[in-house]
Amino acid sequence: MTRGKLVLKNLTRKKTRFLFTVLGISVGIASLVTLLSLGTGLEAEVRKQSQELGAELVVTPKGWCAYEQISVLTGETLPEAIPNADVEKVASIKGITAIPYLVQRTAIKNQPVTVVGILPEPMKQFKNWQVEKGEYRLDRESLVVGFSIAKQFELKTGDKLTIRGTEFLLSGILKEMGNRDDLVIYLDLTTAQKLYGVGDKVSFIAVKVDDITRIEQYSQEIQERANVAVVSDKQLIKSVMAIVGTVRNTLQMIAAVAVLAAAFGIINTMLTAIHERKREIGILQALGGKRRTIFFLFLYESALYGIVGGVVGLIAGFAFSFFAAPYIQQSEFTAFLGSAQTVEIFNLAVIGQAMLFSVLVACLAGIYPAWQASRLSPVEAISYE
Amino acid sequence: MNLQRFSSICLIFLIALSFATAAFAFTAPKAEGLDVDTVYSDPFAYKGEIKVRGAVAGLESEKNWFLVIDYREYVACQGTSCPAKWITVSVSGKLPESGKVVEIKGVIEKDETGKGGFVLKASEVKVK
Repeated sequence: MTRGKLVLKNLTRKKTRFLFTVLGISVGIASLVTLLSLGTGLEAEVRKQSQELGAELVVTPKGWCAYEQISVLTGETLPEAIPNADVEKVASIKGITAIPYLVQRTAIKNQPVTVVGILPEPMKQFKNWQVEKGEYRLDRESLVVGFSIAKQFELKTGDKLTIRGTEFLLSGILKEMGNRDDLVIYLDLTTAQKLYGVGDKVSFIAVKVDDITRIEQYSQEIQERANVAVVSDKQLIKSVMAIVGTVRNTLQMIAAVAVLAAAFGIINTMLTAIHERKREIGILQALGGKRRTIFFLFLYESALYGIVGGVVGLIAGFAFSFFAAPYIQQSEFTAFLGSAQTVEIFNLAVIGQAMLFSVLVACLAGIYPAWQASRLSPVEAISYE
Repeated sequence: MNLQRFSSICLIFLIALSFATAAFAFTAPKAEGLDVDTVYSDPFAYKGEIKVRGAVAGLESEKNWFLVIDYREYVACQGTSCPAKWITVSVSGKLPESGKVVEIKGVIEKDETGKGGFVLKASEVKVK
């Protein structure tokens, strides 16, 4: 009988015990997988939306909470708090392009629509926009709209749109960009500021830097010159994680308790198995089995618990992430990222991490019982009744 | 106590712990409707009856008004203290309790005494 067959036979000898031990580690790994799936999915979503914004840094008013920082990406209404003087100070820094945004909302046919006040020409260059229909004219009387908005509400150039009681001419429809830009009505910044009564203030400034390796220096310089805060996409991810901290903490706690309980379960199972198989160990020793061989036989058994438990945990974790987690996180995640899929299923990194962790825990838990088995004396082992 | 019984107890304990912690972690009830910040930006763009969701941040019982803040901000801040914008809601019946999540059906009416120069005249207030 080969070592592999022997290990398998020993494991499945007591089926109920095997099942409960595997279940123990599966619960822990399932919690871990759910935790990792939520995290990676969310990070990917925030990164994607950051890239769509086209900026390496976002300049926000000081003291903005995580919700407001995330709203920069989602196009929600934002408080207007950066005065024009600060916009000019930021824009004057060499090596950066600063694009101010005033984000507000209106409604077409009772459906909420995002309105963004922009500097027409710099924004067109920054986003590399092209006009699908009509002309790119933004002034006191005209506006342009994104591709999807025009399609959704069947808008044509020459139509009249009323925003906060003022009528505007729809001068142009932008070409499809495949991102949130398609869902926005664009107004000239000054006109939007007057219309929404916000003085000379903007919501935030998107910053593109010429030299990405100097991003930290740019960030510092912006904060030294103007009374603002600077947020990078990494910080945005941190903000989301801070908001959803309750979910993560709960899952972390469940994962930690479950993995710890599973480790003790493996130790217990293995010690019982050694006690039951003392005679068998003695025979192995009498047949010339070395201490090292016995040690590794029991360690392999333990590792196999980790592998089986890891696989079951992965399946359970992904199933839970896919079906249940979106409902659990409804109030926490979707409030910030719309209907975006915030759970990444079948992520290779998650699979790798979870399996490695499962096998590692099982091996660590198996060291002590395997060591106990290997140091039994042949006489003591073979004479055990 | 044998191993199987011990394992079963551990498993039941873990499942119970999961449910208990989950129950304590997610306290904001689910609500549907337009968001307060969205409506506040351009209230008169909404014609006829609309449904708004939010959290009750204050009561003005002498006018039979209550103030409602953005649901998402309520969730993010885990309370009603941080938002700077709110909608004034006028009701004919009983006022909801402060701090409760509500869904309001009603129409926007011009009223200079309301925040932003308007009130949401409610025909139905559902406490979640």
